Amino acid sequence: MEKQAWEGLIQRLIREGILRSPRVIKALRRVPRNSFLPERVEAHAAMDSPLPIGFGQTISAPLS
Amino acid sequence: MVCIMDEALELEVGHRVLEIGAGSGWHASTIAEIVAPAGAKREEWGHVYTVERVPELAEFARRNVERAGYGNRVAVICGDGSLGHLEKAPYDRVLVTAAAPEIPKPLIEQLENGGILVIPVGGLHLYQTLVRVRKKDGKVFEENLGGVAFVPLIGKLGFKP
Repeated sequence: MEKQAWEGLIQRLIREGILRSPRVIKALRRVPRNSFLPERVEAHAAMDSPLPIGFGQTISAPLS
Repeated sequence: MVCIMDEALELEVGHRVLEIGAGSGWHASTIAEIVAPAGAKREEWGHVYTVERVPELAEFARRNVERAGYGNRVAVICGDGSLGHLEKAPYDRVLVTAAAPEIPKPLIEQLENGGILVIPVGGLHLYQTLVRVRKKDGKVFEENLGGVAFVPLIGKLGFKP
């Protein structure tokens, strides 16, 4: 995942008023989703949707 | 959902947090970054305990958490999260990342007085509501934070496997 794509998503969530507290914003910047994804879906890390991680479970979407 | 829940939990440095449903370990790591930031003194650090039902996922989460550098702030436990995690109770914050048919009692019991619990409540994939529970002087106050869609919470006090 490109760093800019993740930052772009964060900026959008700030603009939409979903991300408000500086500490949550900082945490999302420091812990991008891509390092927690199985390789096969890693390219979609900055997509705002849940992604499969196996065993019928998903990694949450940043927002929805 | 991670953003909405992290905001709804009103997290602070030093909080002891219980998460039900570790999944990939991402959500737990974002919380660890808030309650135990690298910039704070270690003795002020909080801790995240995250319970995962699927053994393979617990292992996956543990590996991810360690690789991301949060292994010393996040403990991944394999077990039935609908029963909470009594050993390390009480918790300042509890969050559930799967929908339960109703709020499992142990989760409220394991919540510290003044604590906050955020949990999706509702049917299988349908009509789930994100509920925020505040515990004050032994009383429980519920607040509806809106409609959501989560995977089901499987367990003794959740949905049957």
